[in-house]
Amino acid sequence: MNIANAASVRPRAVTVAIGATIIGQSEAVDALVLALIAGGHVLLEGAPGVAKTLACRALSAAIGGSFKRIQFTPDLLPSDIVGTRIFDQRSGDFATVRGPIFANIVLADEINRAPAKVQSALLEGMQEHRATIGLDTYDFPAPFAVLATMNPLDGDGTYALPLAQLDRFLAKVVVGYPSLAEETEIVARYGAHDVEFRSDVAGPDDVLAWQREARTVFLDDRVRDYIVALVRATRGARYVEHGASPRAALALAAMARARAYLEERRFVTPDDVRDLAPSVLRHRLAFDYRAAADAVDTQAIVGEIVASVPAP
Amino acid sequence: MRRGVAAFLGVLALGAFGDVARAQGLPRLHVLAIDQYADQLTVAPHEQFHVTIRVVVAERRERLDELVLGDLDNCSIVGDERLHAPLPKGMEFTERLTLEADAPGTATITPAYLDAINPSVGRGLRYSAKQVIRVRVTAAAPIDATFRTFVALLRTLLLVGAAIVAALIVLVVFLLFAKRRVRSSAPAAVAAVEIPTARPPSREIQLADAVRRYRSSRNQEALLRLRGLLFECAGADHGATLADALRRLGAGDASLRFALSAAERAAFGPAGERERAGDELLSALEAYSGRLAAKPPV
Repeated sequence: MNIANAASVRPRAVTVAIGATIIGQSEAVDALVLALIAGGHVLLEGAPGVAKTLACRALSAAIGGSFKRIQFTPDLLPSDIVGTRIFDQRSGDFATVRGPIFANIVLADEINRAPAKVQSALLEGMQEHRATIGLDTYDFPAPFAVLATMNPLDGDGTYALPLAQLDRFLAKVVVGYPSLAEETEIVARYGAHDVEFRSDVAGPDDVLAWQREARTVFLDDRVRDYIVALVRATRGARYVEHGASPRAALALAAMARARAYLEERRFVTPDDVRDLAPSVLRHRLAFDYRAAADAVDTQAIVGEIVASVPAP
Repeated sequence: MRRGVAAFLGVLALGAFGDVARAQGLPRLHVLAIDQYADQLTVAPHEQFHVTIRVVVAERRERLDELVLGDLDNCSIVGDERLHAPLPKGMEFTERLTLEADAPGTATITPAYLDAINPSVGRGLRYSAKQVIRVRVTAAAPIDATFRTFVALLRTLLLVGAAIVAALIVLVVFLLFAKRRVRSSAPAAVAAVEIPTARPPSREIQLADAVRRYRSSRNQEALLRLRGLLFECAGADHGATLADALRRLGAGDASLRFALSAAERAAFGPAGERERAGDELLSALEAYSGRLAAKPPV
């Protein structure tokens, strides 16, 4: 069931390339590739040292194009991200200097360490795929994807991302610790050698082709209704103060299409939706005080909500 | 009546003591009654008993020192208690003697008396209780009052127990009789009849029917019914996904796995692919039905 397309390489090749560098973390790797196909951004949350940044670098290396990394700190300014205009003494005029956000893949490392003003500058670009410097507006290169990481363990010196900003991320992946076998292999492989990336497995044009073709994947009405039912089930669920927005339904449909495309199917199945629902919904829910008082696992709540909706 | 008794006593005493009374300056009293009695008539030696002397006079006075006790034989006074109480017309004097029997035989207390001038006749008279009290003093110990009470209580208890036993016997007899009557009058029990229930068709029959319907009309309703039956064959519940069904099936029937996958494509695939997926589904089901038919009946 091959899909005739203009891309010279299949997206599975990128997954394989990242998997050659990253040992384990298959969910994070798949989410990065799916979000790239769906044209969205990914938020990776995990403890330090679980290969969040490495996975992002491996992805950018695999698809080629430009890659920029921004280390978010409390003293970061919006101009440090977007860019600014400086006076050129030789020409006697102001020149525009574009910031690191002008890249195909932008790694926003520890995004919750910057204040809301800086986060807003980034998130505006995530939504519009363009930025305004001075009086001029500049488009970002295509494809464009922000891969953000955040550390849940350090509470000091961090700024919580508002729900409206979290909603801009297509998916949030919780990166856990590797298994015993994976960790042993990590030490064996990288204990005495530098990490190597597989570069240019695909190109930016391939990614754009994937994005176009993924949007043509068939979504049956019953699967569409299943997506809507899942999103609506988050509203009014126990421990949930604010449920997911219609943007979540759009994101879930896009991710499901991307997965079908990655698996070289022309249609979305209920399994695509159900498997991706936690990563699409988990960061879009606001939990009430009872969740904190009862110390419930919010990930488990999302799982319960998904399980409560019967598949078609 | 009291007046009559007093007059009678006065007549008896008048002749014998008339001169003496006048000589000694007797009190002027209307003696209405005088009598005495004992609380026990049989006692043991050294056992105490009581003799009560009662005098009723018409005059209101606090003391009656003129009362003379009778003679005591074979008993002695242990205690003496005097009481008086006003009456609507006069006063009642009560003297209670506590006596103790001396020796076996008979203890005798002669009547107490009172000498007084009867104002009605103006002469002195002796008013006597008349009764001579004789108390038998037995050698053997008499039945103790407590023992007598105990015996009476025991007798009462025996009577009550006998009454209860009799009532229970009557009740048991009545119940047995009533039960026999009910048993004899109850209608004969209706034998339980097992109502044959319609047994649901087997899954194979349902599946064959669903295949026939889908083959005749390839619409979504027939497809979904067929897909649901295939999920049931794989052991998946309602609301499960293909992954659930395949997971439940494990490495089971390959033809069923293929049929499930074909049904998924026919159900959710694009319109252009559904016809081909339907063909694959039917061919897979033929293989699966053949395997089912080849299975020996359980």
